[in-house]
Amino acid sequence: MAEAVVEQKVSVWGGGVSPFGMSWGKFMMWIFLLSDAFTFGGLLSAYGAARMTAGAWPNATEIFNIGLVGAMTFILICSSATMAVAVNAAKRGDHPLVERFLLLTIAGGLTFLGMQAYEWTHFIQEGARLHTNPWGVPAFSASFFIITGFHGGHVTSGVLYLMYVFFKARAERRALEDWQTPLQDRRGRPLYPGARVRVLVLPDRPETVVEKAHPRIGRVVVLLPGKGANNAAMLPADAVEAVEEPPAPPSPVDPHTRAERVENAGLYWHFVDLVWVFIFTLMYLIPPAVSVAAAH
Amino acid sequence: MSEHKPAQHGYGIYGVTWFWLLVVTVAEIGVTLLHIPRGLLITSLVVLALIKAALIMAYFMHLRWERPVVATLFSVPVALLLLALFVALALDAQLF
Repeated sequence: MAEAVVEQKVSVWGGGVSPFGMSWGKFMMWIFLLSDAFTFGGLLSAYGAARMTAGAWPNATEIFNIGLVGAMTFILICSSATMAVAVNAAKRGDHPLVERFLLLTIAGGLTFLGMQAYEWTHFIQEGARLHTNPWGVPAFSASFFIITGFHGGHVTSGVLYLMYVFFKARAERRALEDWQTPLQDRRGRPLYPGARVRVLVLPDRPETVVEKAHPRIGRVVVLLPGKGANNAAMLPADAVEAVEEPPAPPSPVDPHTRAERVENAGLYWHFVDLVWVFIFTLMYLIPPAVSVAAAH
Repeated sequence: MSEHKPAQHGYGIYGVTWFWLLVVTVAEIGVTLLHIPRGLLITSLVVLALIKAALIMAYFMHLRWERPVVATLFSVPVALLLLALFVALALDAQLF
């Protein structure tokens, strides 16, 4: 009876623990992007409705510098390509390449934001405000500021997200290097955190434990017994001696988590590029049926 | 364990995708400079935008190498959304 129930469950569901063939984190990123797509879809639909009801609409190609907007598009496509390389490199385990291409992607994002800030400044200097503009169609500047602003906010968040991923990637690479080549005492025994040591400069002290090891600084932090609450001491590695050969701790970095952090950030970044494709087409390129000129 | 292994491929495919995205972007700006009928202009712009979106989703976002169910799950709602968007646009464009 119990066997039959189990068999039925398998035949009905059939997806196992991972029906979409991807981890929880990556799947959640896709769900988030889908919901964000609806947000942008809603904004762009409202923009379409505003254009329909306005009758006449300013011609964006005459107001904005399409060369500049084309360059912004170019930068965003380049940064998406560098991000794709970073994601692939992370999957292959080529971590120095990941860091280099994350930096290139961040540089692309910052360049895009700089150009957008220039464009906004120019537009505002021409007299455009959130609710008014010299073309006499309030929805024109309102939709421009809200939609490109919302997208620019996504680019800003993306740059911050990528900075986090970059610093995390660098910290993990260093942690892994430290784990592979640990700090050693004078006899060549590894000084991992948790290793029992004798402090040679304080022969009267009993054994203590390494709290932290800093292979780059060449020092360990130990808690000296019997010195109250504030009893940590930072000592050179050759001032302590491991009392036993300690077992190596597990790797501080999970390779799957490490690669997927870059991959999820990549999905977000490509999505921001994807949204720009539609903003570029709908807000800049498609000319109005009846255009209005500025009333300067 | 049941992680779907993506097809192993080199970095070259991103260069190729990058190149075609640029070509299509240049084409988009190019068609706005041509004096072609409005309906045709808007149709070409929409088709070019969809080509770019498909390239980004398939190659940069790796949907080509995910399980088909994933690509379907995420493409279908987005396709319906775009349909609604472009129908609204077509009215403004006086295509109908």
